Amino acid sequence: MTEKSKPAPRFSASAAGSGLAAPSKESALVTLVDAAFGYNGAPVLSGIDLTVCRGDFLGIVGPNGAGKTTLLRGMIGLLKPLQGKVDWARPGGNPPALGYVPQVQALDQIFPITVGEVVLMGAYPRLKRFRLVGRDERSYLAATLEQVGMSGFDRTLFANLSAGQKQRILIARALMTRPNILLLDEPTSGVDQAAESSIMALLGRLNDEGLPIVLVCHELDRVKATARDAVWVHRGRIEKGSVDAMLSGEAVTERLGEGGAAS
Amino acid sequence: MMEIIENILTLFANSFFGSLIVGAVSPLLGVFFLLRRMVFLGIAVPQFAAAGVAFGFLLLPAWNCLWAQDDCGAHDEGSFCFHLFFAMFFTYIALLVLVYLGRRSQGTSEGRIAAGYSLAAAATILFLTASAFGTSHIDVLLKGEILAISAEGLTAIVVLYSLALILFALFRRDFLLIAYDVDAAVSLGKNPLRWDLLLYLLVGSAISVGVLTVGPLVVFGLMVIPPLAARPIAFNMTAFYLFSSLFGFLTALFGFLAAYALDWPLGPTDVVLAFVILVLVHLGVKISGMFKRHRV
Repeated sequence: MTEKSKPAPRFSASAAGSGLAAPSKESALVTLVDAAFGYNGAPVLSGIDLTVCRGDFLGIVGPNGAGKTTLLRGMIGLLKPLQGKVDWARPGGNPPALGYVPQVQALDQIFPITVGEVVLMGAYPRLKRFRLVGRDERSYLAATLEQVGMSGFDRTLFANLSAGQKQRILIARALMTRPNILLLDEPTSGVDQAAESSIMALLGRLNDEGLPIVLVCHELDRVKATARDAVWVHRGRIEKGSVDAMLSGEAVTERLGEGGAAS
Repeated sequence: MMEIIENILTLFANSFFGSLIVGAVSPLLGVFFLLRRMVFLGIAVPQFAAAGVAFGFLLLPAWNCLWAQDDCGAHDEGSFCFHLFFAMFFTYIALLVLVYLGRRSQGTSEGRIAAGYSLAAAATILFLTASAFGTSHIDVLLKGEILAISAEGLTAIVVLYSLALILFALFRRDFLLIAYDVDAAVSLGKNPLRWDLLLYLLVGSAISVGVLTVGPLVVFGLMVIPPLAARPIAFNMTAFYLFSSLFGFLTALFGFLAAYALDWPLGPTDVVLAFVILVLVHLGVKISGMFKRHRV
């Protein structure tokens, strides 16, 4: 999906309580029920009810420090819920394949690790111990790098890439898991305008191909142009709805007027 | 040169092969300390092992009375296994506490490791001072006595370092993923605590036997300095592992030859040689960078 065209979702819209059609149980990938997340026992977010379905493109937005990343980490299981539950669909009884893209700044540049080695991490659950990486995985690696526009970079040191290129490589690593869903934490943070546009275009394209996406992003315009639904995180709660309803000028002004500057 | 090697193989075969194995394998384990910015764990953990050995000396008279059926105090050294038990026990306890605190508390890991090192160093001296025989072994314990590696010491090195090497090869990808991006590891279904414990178990076992045979100074030096030398020239992670291991092996090999030829103490010679390699590699990288810039 490009910024100009937003095709209708293949599956039912999902933001529970947003006034949109309720998601069917079959299409739900992850469901949060009255969930609370926080640190050291103190909740940052509580009373979270949210469902993400197949085909969704959900933007998580809100002021700095509101808990956008906390919500994403809670969904993935990096934070255990203080109350409530997080239910992932288990197709065929298998655990969900999560394509997680962290903030680039979280990765230490001291590792002399190549692009190929970073992307292959996504295939680790499939690789046999004591075996070298097989031809199939090598081909899949090359195809994944091509998909994110980074063909031929597999032997380049990850630390030598620009911020935008690193972000693409982390997206490639997430795709290498053959994910059911892509979850990204501020993928455009610290990258230049051109790289930001190309990353968002890439995400739109992946969603068009049927991959559900949950995106934490501080750029409201970017989310509005690319995502289909939005979750506004503010004062320990979330509101959800379509991007047009949630991120219209009046809606944003109204929420910002309630206190707290948007990032 | 051949004459020196022949003499070494005749007189110090156990020590020679033991130090080569420690030299080749220790840097592989040290790689993860370096990458996780926990190099000081490499000095703190051997010190805990040393404290364990010192504690063993404290208990030795009672042990002799109870089990060895000797006149109490007739033997002032104790068996290799006796000391290895206490070295491992103290090492595992220290690592478990450090891992637990790392997950639970909000302080810095450097602070915890530094406090642990201070405690272990103080405890080592206090245990040795309080024991009947410890003071006569304090120099050996602090500097190591590589030249006196016994057959059982060599066996312990071969067994534990081989095990460490096999497990490292088997689980290198998991260790790397956890070290590089723990959140991604969790999202891929890995349990970081389990992998951390396995890594620390490996490192702890290797360090314990290393401290008993080659001493804490050499163990720390070989765990940390070869990976530091390999880091600037590593073009991928596999090269990083291989260069680290190679530099450690070369340090142990030429350190032994130099120490024998010059009649220097082996442990400090190894560490100084490792440092010379580190300096040479960094100089080489600088000079090569200058040439590249000049060409551009």
